Amino acid sequence: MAVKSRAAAILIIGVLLGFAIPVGLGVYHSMVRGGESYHLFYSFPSEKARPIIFRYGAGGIAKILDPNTLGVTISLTNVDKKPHMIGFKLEKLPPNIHVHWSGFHTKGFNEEKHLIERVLGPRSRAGVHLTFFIEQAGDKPVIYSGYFKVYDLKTGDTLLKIPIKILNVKAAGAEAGGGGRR
Amino acid sequence: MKRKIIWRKHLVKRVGFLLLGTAMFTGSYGLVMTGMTHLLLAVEAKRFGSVLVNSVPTIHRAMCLRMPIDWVIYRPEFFISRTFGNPLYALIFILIAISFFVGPLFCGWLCPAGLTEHLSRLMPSRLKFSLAGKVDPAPLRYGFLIGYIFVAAPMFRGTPIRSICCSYCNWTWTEHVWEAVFGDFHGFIAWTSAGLITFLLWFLILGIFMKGGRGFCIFLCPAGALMNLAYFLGKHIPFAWKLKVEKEKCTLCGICVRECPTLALNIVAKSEKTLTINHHVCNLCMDCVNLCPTNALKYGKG
Ligand code: SF4
Ligand code: SF4
Ligand code: SF4
Repeated sequence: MAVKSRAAAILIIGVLLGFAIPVGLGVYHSMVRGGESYHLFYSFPSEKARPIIFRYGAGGIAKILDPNTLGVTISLTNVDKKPHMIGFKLEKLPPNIHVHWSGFHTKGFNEEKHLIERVLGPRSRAGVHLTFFIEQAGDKPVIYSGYFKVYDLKTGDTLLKIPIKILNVKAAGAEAGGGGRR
Repeated sequence: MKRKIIWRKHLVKRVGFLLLGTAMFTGSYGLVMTGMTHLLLAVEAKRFGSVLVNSVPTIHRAMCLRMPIDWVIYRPEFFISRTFGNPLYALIFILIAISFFVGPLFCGWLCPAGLTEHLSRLMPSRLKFSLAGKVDPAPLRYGFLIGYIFVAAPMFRGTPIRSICCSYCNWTWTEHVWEAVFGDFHGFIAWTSAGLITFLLWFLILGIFMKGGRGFCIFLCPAGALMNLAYFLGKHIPFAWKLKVEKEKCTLCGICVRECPTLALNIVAKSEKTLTINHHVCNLCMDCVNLCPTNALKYGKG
């Protein structure tokens, strides 16, 4: 009898422990991701886009070695009926932030010119990965407030404008802010 | 001596299958994925009148075994529409169905994430810890599966509880490791904390530094848990294939218990000592079958 109840107790503890792991890992990830990196999905052309809000200084263990970078992967789908050739711009970027541009599983991404050298047909996808290197965040509560713009290379029309904010959580009077969702 | 030769041949076979699984499924090198992606894009191009193959195939595009679990439970219509566009999203359910009849052979023989098991063999024993005979992974494994499904529930949107599907994925890491082998280190740059934790658990702590190298599989893989659950349920039907022990042949030498990479074997004292097989974790690698000096373990029908 004692053996049986011991086995049942071990079973219950094991299941509860197993259950707690994904809950804990999920909560940890949502606490720190705003200070580390996002992977977000957008469609273009579109009038509206949910903003990307970083929380510089709120990252987790990965930021111990690499505290000054933030990253975002923006996956884009062409939902138009016609093909587009697209380029990208980051607007209102201050001099204390350097950005490294790279394609994310995307052919023909030009890292220097920030454009895709191939035509994106309807339903085609492309991805851009931006790494922000922040030099001297200072003590202002907002380090960057600008836009990531997707535009048509032929017509110059804006196809999507995503607001991006980098908040400095360590600065006095910093706003609290969430981010986009995956 | 003969046993050693059998064992070596078996290992060569398993590594061969692992490389085959990698060639089939991993990253931009995966033949199945690349082929499938190009086929789908060609179909799309025909349908939409453009001939523009732009995505590079990735594990996410073609063969995720985790996301479809959440989709089926919480967004079945989305699952159907995605799978209509890319049939490989149904792969996990095909594997579960196969496991019902013949067990999780995919885990033991083809899954590229099983790479850690073979790397763990190269690690000197004194650097590894062993959990053999010390824990039963099944409760933790199923608890994890329940939690994995729970945190993906739509009701938690906007709360700190969130899906861990993509953030703690060992297949993404398998892809990164192989990409690094081919000279592309992007997966090792810009770590996230979730990524770092996954790498530490899958590759290091529960991987190459754990005897057997399959800690992530037996504790933290929802796809593997579902396949083993199917195997466990299926083993009760007479024509299903399963691993069995012939008690009269077993001398209880314990070799198989020590070597089983998934902690599935135990010698327990009931009325008498017997060898037990835990079908909730065994991945049918057949190591025990090939190591047993008396051929007491068999994989077969009935
Ligand atoms: S348990 Fe998961 S990671 Fe391990 S072999 Fe099976 S499917 Fe692959
Ligand atoms: S190796 Fe064979 S004889 Fe030894 S305990 Fe395992 S099944 Fe029994
Ligand atoms: S019980 Fe045998 S077949 Fe199953 S995982 Fe262990 S060694 Fe492999």
